[in-house]
Amino acid sequence: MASVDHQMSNPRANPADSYKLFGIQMPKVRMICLVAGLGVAIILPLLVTNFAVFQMTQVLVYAIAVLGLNLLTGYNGQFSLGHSAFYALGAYTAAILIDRYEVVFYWTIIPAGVVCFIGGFLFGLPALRLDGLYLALATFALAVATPQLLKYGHFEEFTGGVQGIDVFKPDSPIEALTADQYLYFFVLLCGVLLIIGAWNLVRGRTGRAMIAIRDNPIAAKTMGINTSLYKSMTFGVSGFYTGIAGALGAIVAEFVAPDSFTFFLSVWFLVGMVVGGLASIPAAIAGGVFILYMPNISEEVISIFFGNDPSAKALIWVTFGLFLIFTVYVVPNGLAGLVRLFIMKFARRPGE
Amino acid sequence: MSEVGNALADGSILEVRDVAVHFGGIIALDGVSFNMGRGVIQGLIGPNGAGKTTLFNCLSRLYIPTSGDILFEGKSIMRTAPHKIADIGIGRTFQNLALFRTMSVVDNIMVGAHNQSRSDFISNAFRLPWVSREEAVLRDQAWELIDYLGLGGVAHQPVGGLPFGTQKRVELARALAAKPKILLLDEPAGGLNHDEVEDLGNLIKQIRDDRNVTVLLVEHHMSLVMSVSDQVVAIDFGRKIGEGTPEEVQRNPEVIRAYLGTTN
Repeated sequence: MASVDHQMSNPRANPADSYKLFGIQMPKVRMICLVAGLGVAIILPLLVTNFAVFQMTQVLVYAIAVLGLNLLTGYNGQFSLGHSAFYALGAYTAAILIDRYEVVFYWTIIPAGVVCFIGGFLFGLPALRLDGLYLALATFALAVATPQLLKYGHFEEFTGGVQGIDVFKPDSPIEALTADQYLYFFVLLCGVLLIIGAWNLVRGRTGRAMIAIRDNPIAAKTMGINTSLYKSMTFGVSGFYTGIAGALGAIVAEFVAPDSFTFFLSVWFLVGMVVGGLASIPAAIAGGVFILYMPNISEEVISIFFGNDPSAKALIWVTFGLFLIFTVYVVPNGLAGLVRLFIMKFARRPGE
Repeated sequence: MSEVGNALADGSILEVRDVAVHFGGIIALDGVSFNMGRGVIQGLIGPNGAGKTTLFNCLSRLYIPTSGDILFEGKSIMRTAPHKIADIGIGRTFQNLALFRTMSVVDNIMVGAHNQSRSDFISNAFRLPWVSREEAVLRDQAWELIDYLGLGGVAHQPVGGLPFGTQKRVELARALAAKPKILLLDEPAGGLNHDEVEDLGNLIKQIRDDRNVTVLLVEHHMSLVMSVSDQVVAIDFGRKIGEGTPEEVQRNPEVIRAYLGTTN
C-alpha cells in the first residue's frame, strides 16, 4: 500500500526533538523551562522574606483557581463569572472542617475539591441550555448570591455570618522552614499535582473532546462525544480546581469572610486567565503573578511619578487599566503565547 | 418484525421510510423513502434546497423528522441519541466543513476515534497505564489514516489554516477513524478542481472496497456521482423524483426537468 513510503518522510513524533520527563514526552526547550521554573519555585522562597513567601503562596493559589477557570473557558469554551462562588465554597468547606471539626488542614483540601466538583457538576447541568453571554449571566448570579448566602442568619452557626471564620496557620513541623515556607511548599505540591493532572487531562481523549466541543459542538456530537456529559463534567472539574484553590487560600489568608468572595474575585480570575493566555496551562502561573503583583506594580509606578501626593493614589487603577489594555493589545494570546513565540523562535534557529 | 427480517434478508443497511421534515411552514422533506444495500455507493442528487443536507441531518440525528422512520441495520434510529450515532456505525462529513479548527490534523482524526476509545476524566487525569496504551493505539490508527489520505505533510498543523480541499480530506479521515459502516459524504468535491474530482472518485471507491463501507454521496458534480454510484436517488423540493442506476436516473424526465427547468 502507498502508506509505507509515507511513513519514512513523516516523523510521527512532534517535529522538535523531544525528551521524557515524569513519563511525559516533551520538546527539549519546554523541558528546560519546566526544570528551571521548578528550580526557582523551590529555591527562591528559601531566600526571601516571609512576606514575599506569603505573596508567592498567594500567587500559586490564584494560579490554581485560574487553571480551573481555564479548563472551563479556555479549553471547553464555557464562560463563567461565578468562579468566586466555587472559590468561596472551597474556602468555607476547609474553614468549617478546620474550625468546627478540628480536621488537620491537609485533610480539608480534597473534601473542599469534591464539594466544589459536585457543586460545579450540578450547576453545569442547567447551564447546558445556556451559551455565551447567557451562561455568563447565570454564573454572575451565582457569584452575586454566594456572599449573601454565606451571611444568611440561619447558616451563621456554620459560616460565622458576616464575621466569617478564623483559620490558624499550621505550624511548620520541619525546623528549617518557617510556617510561611512550610505552607508555601504544601501549596506548591498541590499546585504541581493539579498541573500534572490538568496536563494529563487536556492532552488525552478527554481534553480532545473538551476542545472539540469548544471548536464545533455539533461535529463533536456527531463524532460520538456526549457533549452534555462532558460540559457538566468540565464544570465539575473546574469547580474542583477552584475549590481547592479556595481551601488553600483560606489557610493562607488565615481567615474567610463573605466579603472576600465577591463578584470581583471572579473578574480577577478572568483577568488572570485572559492575560495569562486561554487554553494554556503555564498561563495559569502567569495569570496568578499578574493578579497579585500588577496592582502593586501600578502603585509603585504612581509613586515614582507622583511621589507621595495623596491625590495621585486615585491613579493607581488607571495605571493598572492601562497595563491591562497594553497587555491585551500587545500579547493577544496572553503571556503564555508570548513565551511560546519566543521559544519557537529560539528553538527553530539551530535547526534551520 | 417480518419487515425487519426482510430488510436484512435483502441486504439493506439503511431504510429511509417516508421521512418528512417541516420547519414551521416550510417543508424541507416531504415523505422521502429509499433503501440502501450493504456495500453500495449511492448518490443522492437534487438541485440546491432539495433537502439533501436535511436528510443527512436526520440520519445523524441532528434533526428530528416530523414523521417517518429511519432504519439502520433493521433497527429504527429514531430513539438513538445523536452522540450514539457514531457508535452504531453512521459516520459523516459536512458540506461547509465542521472541523475542530484549532486542533491539529492528528488530533482531529483522533477525536474521530472517540467512539473507539473508553478512557474518562479520572483515568486521563492520572494517565493510567492502559490510557497510555489506548492513546498509542489511537495515534497509530490516526497515522494510518493520515498515510492513507496523504496528509502526512500537514499532520501537526492546525486544520483551520489548511486549504479547503485538504480540510475536506481531514474530515474524511476523521469520519473514517470512527470505523463507520455507512459513510455520509456531503459534497466532498466542493472546492476541488477537475483532476482532484477524478482522484476523489477513485478514492471513494477505494474506501468502499478497502474498508467495507457503504457510501451515501451528496454531490453536485454530476460526472463524479454518475461515475462512482451504483444507485442514484434524485430529490427535488423534498420529494423523491427518481431512483435507479445512474443511466436510468439520467434519462428520467422528472430529473431532467428539475435540473433544466420546465420548458417542455
